[in-house]
Amino acid sequence: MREKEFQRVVTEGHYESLGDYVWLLVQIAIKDFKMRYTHSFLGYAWSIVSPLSFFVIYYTVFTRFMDVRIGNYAGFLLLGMILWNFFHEATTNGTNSLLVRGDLLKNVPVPRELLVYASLLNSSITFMINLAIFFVALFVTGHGVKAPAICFPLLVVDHLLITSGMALMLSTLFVRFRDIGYLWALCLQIGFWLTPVVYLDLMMPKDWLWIVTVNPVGRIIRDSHRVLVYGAWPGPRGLVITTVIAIVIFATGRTVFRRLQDRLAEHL
Amino acid sequence: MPTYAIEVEEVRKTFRLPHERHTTLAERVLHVFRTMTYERLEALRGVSIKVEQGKFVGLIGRNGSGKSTLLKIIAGVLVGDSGHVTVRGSASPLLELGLGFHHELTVRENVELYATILGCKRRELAARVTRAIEFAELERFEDAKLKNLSTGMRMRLAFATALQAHSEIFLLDEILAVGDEIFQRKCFDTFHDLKKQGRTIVLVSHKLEHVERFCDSAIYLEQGQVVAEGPPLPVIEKYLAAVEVARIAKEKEKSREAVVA
Repeated sequence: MREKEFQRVVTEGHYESLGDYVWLLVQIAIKDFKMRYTHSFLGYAWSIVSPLSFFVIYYTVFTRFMDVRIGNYAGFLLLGMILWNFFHEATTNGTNSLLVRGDLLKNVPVPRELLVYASLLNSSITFMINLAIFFVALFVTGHGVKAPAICFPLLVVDHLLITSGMALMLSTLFVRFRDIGYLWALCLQIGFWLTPVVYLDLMMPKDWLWIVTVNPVGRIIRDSHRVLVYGAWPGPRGLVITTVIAIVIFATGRTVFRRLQDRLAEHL
Repeated sequence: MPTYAIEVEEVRKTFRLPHERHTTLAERVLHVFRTMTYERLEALRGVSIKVEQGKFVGLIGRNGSGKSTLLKIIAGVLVGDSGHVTVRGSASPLLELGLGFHHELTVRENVELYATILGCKRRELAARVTRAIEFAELERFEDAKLKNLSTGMRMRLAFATALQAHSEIFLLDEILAVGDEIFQRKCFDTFHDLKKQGRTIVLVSHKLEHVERFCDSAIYLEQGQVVAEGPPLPVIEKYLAAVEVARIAKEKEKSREAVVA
């Protein structure tokens, strides 16, 4: 309603083409990266090593101490952890992305969405490096991939959509409600154990399986395991449902963001 | 008919300041049945101004009169409740807190980011950033983190950066309050050049002598409304008269209170 009442027209925009937006996005992402890791190269190295080192810990605990029997458990665990870790890191950083640039938002007319996307871009680069390590490991250990692996790019796209949608929603809410950060950290911690990262969904009792079915990240990780680690085709219906859920989450996040962004500068 | 670089029509802006500020979701949920009470602060109450292209306009008024809010709405940092704003040409804002520089980034990185946000193309960026740093006389500190710079240096950098954006319109809030005489002189020389190039400047200032000396016209805001506009001198006089009236009224009140006591 308000949007209609107030109008601000700029006859000559700063950004004429998509290229200009991409250039700005890259600039923000580079600065974002420098702000975060300015003190230590180790900081960045850690963000790459982190899922790998946790992988070693979980692997030891679940194979040596607890005797989990899952075929190619190493590959299974590593893939799940990389996917989960991206969701964890990207939504956490995305949530902060507006608040840490409060000064910028209050003083310069920067397209606000780009701040969130820049933060997501940085997390995505770490994610891609981790995935590359995973694939190298998969081939080095002689497992390789089978034909169903062609479904994986779609799952990655769905994962990016879900993560972006959540980051967009949380970032604006975080400016308004400062305890969203803690709340989300708690959600992530619980979410980790409700997602088949360290365990296989088939190990769960039948009447608990719905937890994975309604958990979008759980669906993606489950299908990723299927196509990459076990070389099995995922159910096409399940894949379509996952994609629809991903699109809905992204659209919702973006709508919430656009609704709330006008008043952001006043809450900072 | 003159071309207007900025047209503001009937812009209103009300800030809602909650009496109890619930900044956490938990508090909000706990108080869901309690109606939120707000202090309504009408920052702008139907402001209309027009700024001709190539003019240097001074915005004056007391603290809280809505000057900064108006500038922020023109800049697009704040969004009004109603009204229209038209900005013809690219605009560089330099608002009260600087440019949103980040203290952990170096001088160069900060300038790069600001210039990019204001639409500086990739091929022009390096040259423009170098020029801005030169203007601010901070070449030696190019790779120093912003937090290691003095306040004066930071303001100089902000000003130089905003100028180097090559915008057609400059929106400047209280930039001359800091900076030594030499830098101020440099600023005014630059304003002079900018005016010659047909660029438009809107300056918020409490330094009335600056407004009088450099502006083509002045706009006097009081409680979110335009009270007077036109050539600087009469507008400034009107403002000073109003300030004097307010001061006398306050003094009278004081003496009356003293008598009662």
